[in-house]
Amino acid sequence: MSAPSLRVQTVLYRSPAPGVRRLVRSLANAVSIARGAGLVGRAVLRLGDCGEAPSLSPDDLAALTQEAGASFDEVEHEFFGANLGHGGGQNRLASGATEDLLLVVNPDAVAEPLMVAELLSRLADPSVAIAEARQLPVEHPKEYDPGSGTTPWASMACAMLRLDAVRQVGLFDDASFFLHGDDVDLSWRMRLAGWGVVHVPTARVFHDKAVGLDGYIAAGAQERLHGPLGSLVLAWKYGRDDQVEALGELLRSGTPEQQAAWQAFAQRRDAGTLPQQRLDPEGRVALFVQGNHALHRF
Amino acid sequence: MSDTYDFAFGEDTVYAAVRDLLAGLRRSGTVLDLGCGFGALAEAVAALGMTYVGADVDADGLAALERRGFATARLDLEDLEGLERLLTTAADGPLAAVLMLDTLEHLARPERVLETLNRTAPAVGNPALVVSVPNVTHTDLAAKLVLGRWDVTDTGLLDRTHLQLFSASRLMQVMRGAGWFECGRNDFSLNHSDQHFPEGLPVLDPAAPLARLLREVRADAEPSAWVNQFVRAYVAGVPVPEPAAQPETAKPFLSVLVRTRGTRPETLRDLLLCLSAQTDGDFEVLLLAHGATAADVSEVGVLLAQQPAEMRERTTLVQVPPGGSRSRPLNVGVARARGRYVCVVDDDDVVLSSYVAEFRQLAETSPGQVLRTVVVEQDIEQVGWAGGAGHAAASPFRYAYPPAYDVLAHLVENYTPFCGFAVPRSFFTDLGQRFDESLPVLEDWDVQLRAVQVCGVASSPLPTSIYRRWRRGSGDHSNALHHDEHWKAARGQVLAKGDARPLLLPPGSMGVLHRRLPRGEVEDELLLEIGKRGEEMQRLADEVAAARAARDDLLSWREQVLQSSSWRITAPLRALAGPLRAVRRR
Repeated sequence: MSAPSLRVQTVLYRSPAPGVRRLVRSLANAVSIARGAGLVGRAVLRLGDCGEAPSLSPDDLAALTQEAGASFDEVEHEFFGANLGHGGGQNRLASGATEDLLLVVNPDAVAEPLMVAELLSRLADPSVAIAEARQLPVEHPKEYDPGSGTTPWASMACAMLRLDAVRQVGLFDDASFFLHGDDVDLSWRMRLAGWGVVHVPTARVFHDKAVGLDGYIAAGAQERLHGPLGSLVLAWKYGRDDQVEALGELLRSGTPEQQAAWQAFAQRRDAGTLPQQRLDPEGRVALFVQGNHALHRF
Repeated sequence: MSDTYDFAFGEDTVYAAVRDLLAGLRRSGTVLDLGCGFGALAEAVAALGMTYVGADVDADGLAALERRGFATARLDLEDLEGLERLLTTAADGPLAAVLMLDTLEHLARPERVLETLNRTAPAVGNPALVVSVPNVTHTDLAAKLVLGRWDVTDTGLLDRTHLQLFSASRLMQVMRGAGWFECGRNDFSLNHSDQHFPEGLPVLDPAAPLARLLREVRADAEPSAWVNQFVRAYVAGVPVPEPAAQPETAKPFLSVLVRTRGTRPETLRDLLLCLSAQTDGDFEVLLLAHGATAADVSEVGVLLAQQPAEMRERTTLVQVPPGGSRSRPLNVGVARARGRYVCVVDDDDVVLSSYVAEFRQLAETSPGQVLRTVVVEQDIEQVGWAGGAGHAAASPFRYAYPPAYDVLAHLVENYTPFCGFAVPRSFFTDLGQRFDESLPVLEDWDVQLRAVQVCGVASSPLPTSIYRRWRRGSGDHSNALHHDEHWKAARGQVLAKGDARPLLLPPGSMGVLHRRLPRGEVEDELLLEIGKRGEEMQRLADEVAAARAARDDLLSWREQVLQSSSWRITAPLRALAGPLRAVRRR
């Protein structure tokens, strides 16, 4: 049996070129190690840019292509000319994919040398559809089984997906989610279809987070708006009107961004543009606890 | 009148140091003393069983030597051809040694003489060259220079006829430049040089804190602080030109010292990933494997080999043999470091992408100071991963340390974990400081206190690193490894070290102390002390008064007895007057 083929995708948006090149160099190294171990065959790299202007100059792109060249069989870059959001950008890049596996990764990430190999190894288990890397230096607090890695949902800051499962279940619901919540939604849809979602602690990815003066993770304005909006849409999509109401009450009296998130949700609900299908009202996979979608370890 | 000095040989003089060095070379034959003066060493050389020949331009000295039965030659050291002739004719056989005692500093171009000696040496039996020159970096001179004093004298360290000034490093450069390589030394040291004047100068008097501080700084910086004269022996080799100074830009900004015992490859992987993600790539990593087994070192080597090229190129794996405290690998690391600043990260810490960049930002605004950023804390615990032992974050971040470095607060407790500060490498290389290998723990606090005192400190409130604390019973971190007694003992040691030398505080500390010191307690303590002394004085006064009263009583009684008619019959009582005299003498 030949080694699986891999497509690696990242969506840029006003992404600093040095960071993107740093990511690509780390991916090239990680793919090279995985290939050396016979874990991966053909590998392609696709970058899509949602920015108003390209993040990468022609020189950057040439250098990046050269840096990736030894490890990837193809490197493609597409300037979308529109902000498609995270899910929209990833969907566009993945359309027509013929590979076995798909690695989605944020442009502000850096792959540890064994990251690709560790994710590939875990996906050798045919019941697993999504294998998520462990983020550093800010480790995600959601629970997982240390032995099997089973976890309620996988962050798409860096995760590898089985494309067979994606063809069955679909990729990101970019009609419902713009920046946040699409990873939880995809994980839950996979689980509803019977696929496994796992966290792989030995697969490390650096996700460039800043810690604020108060010791908390600094969140940008986009995150402060789209985070709660994603949560509202999730609650709606999974049939949890009680959560919509409870969260709505908090947001309506919250910060300006939180109030804006509620207004955006209410407008979509009133316009009938929210998902029609309510997926999991009985809570087989969908979990809403203290504003999170998994139990947290701390 | 001759300009030549007539100093006599003595066991407490530099000549005895030269004699002992010469004896240690275990050579036999002729010793040619260039610039011999009155030949103070002639008899001592002869006593070693060697043949002494004195050469000088001054006739008085040569005549004195001849009267004592030694061979002489007239030589002007400006006459290089004459020197070459003398070298080839001075001895019947090979020359054992050439002496140049207190001579090089009188020459306008000493390198020409040294080069001539070097060139001629192979033809005359490769004699050893023994040199004695005064040290202008003696602590006495260094201290007086601080005051702007440069006291030229007729003889001594600042002899008015000296044309050359030597430090240890300049001596080495001059000698190596002329092809002379050190093979022995017996430097002559004096705690009080001839420049130790005037009496009572606060930079010289060891009881004065200022003098104490200058002495400590000077002695730490370089080993020749008390050397009065360098007494060195050399052998001839190929001249080494002075190396061009490495431009500052060729050195990395930061050297990151990573301590590991090689037993935590999983956390080390975390850290190396974080280092590879730095937004500022101007740093090197020294991976210091201390006491690691061959298998563990091999595993670390594999981990390193897997890194991307840029990370591999900036990382050096250094094996540090077992033994020594946790400071041992750090001293090894500092000796290997090339960066302008040095910081320390343990193999279970992690850093943000801004770690190096934030240090640089601070260095640009406050060059030469200790650079301090905020460290957040996070608990970590051991967990079983599918493939073996793993770890997991077990708490949110805690903002456990103050946003700015508070010098006074840090004298009491350490509020800056190791990964939160970078020290100018000059603190180690120029000031001669080291990590204290006698400390089992708290080596970070110790070095930080010393560095901040002399370099100052610049702070950023931004957290750039995460100090991961293993939960009790989880992992082999220092908290679990070292007993509370060790911490207590180390703390006492750090405080004792701080007490052993004057304390330097930055401007503004007076006001801060004034605000913070519990004034009532200070006053109570002083008043209590005054009260105790007062009681003691009162007790002594009472004793003195009682003694006086007793004496007066006795005197009065004596007068009465002496004047009484019963004197003769009271003779036995006169013996009592003895103790009375003793009291009076007192």
